[in-house]
Amino acid sequence: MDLPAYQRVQRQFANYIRDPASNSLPAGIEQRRMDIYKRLFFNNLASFCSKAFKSFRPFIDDDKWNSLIRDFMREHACASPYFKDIPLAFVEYLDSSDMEMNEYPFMREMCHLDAMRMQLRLAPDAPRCKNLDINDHATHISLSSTVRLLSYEWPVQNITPSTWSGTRPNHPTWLIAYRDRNDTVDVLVTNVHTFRMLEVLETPQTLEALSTQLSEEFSIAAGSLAKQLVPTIQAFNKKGVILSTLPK
Amino acid sequence: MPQQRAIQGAGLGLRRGLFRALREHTELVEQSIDFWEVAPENWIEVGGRYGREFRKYTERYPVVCHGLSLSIGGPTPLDLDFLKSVRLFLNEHEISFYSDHLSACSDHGHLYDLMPIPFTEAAVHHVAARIRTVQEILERKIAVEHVSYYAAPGQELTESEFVNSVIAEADCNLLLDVNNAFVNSVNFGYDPYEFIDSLPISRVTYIHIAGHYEEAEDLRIDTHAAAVVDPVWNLLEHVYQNYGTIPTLLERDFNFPPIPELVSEVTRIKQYQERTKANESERIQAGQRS
Repeated sequence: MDLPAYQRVQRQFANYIRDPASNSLPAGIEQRRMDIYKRLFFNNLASFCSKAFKSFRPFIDDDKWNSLIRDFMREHACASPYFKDIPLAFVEYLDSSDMEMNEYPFMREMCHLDAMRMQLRLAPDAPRCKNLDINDHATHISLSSTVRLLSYEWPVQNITPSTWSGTRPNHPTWLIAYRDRNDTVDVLVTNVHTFRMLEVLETPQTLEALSTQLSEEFSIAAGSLAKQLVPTIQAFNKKGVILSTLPK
Repeated sequence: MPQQRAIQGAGLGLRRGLFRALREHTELVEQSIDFWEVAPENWIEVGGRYGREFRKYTERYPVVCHGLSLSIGGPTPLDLDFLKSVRLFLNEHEISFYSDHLSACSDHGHLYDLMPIPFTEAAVHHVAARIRTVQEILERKIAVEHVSYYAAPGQELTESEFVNSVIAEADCNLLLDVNNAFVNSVNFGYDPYEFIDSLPISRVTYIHIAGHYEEAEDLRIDTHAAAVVDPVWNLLEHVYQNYGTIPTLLERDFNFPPIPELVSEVTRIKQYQERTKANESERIQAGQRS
């Protein structure tokens, strides 16, 4: 497609900012002036990502980090106008790239967890979390919108440069990332059954309906399962993970 | 139209990084800051602690919006979903003023900082048409800010011709930034006073003032990370003396000083405004006597 002349100039300008190593200096512009743009754009993104990816950043040195940010900047088109979505865009970039992650195979998942933490800190408020009356059979329960259910291959919530052994785990990690009633973001480790229960609660429903569905999935009698679920549900309600909502 | 809240006096850019310090100086802040400016991109659909803190400001003070991601000079179509979110946000918080930068912050994707638009006739038409669309969607006039720049790619018009043409063709308002005028005057060797006087000052909604970084004798960078320098204060005073007082906002985005120091810069804006008003009434009285 034929671009208007000024848009060709703009494209050249942006190409240089994204990838100064393989683009020539835009026509008629002094190197030191273009260097300012190169630096401003890069530092802006790098500093935002350093703050966002606090868990992963300590694993690599400055050179590797800078080349990672440069790759992201060169390769990825960030679609969101919101700065808080930059970490998610970075994870998207990792997913789409054929980068070798042999050295840090957990990198994608660790960055994803950090991106989720940032999303949760800023996420719109969920309806107020009221105390659950488990004896009211009409009460519907549901997962709060300020919860993210995350299943990872690596226990990324625990891996630090000093604890990292490189041993591939033999079972997945089930995490509940959530913003509690006091708006503090936290991450809980859970098991596959609780994880599945919370997944089912993405649709609001009664305790009875929940027990019926899970009893079929887990092959446990519905009555005894309901009794087992009650304390778990109450504990999650206290944390603001499970909301009690009145049926419409 | 939502209720219009007028702004007056002197304001400060509201940043998340300032919240805690501002809470420790509530009284001083209430006495000194008349209005606040926020980047809608940082607050749209934000809840939790930040959302609650943000509401404290929108409920108590006039707030204006100064956007970062509109990319009015960008090559791809305007992001209509984003604009609808901006409209909802402005209406929800009863914010009447919205502005963004006369620049591009994206090519085929967002780059989250400001690139200059080539000063050409074709770019004027492109940008003006997009501003008109934005004004239709937001159901109000918007203001555009003439940005700081360090290179002028593909330049055919002067900066003043470009800014004037866009504003006339789009029938929009202007956010005058006296620091940008100074930074650009150094970077491109022109007279900042002449530049300001060439702009349509009657269309100015409010003024920005900020500090910058001296990269070289002939190269300044608009960092918003330092105190305002005297030549920039002089430009502000020039505007007041020649066009009357206009609401003015201090931008400080990084390297925050203690709140009293920051507030003293806002107070200096007010002193200039009061001095101008005193001079005006003196002139009027002198006129009546003669």
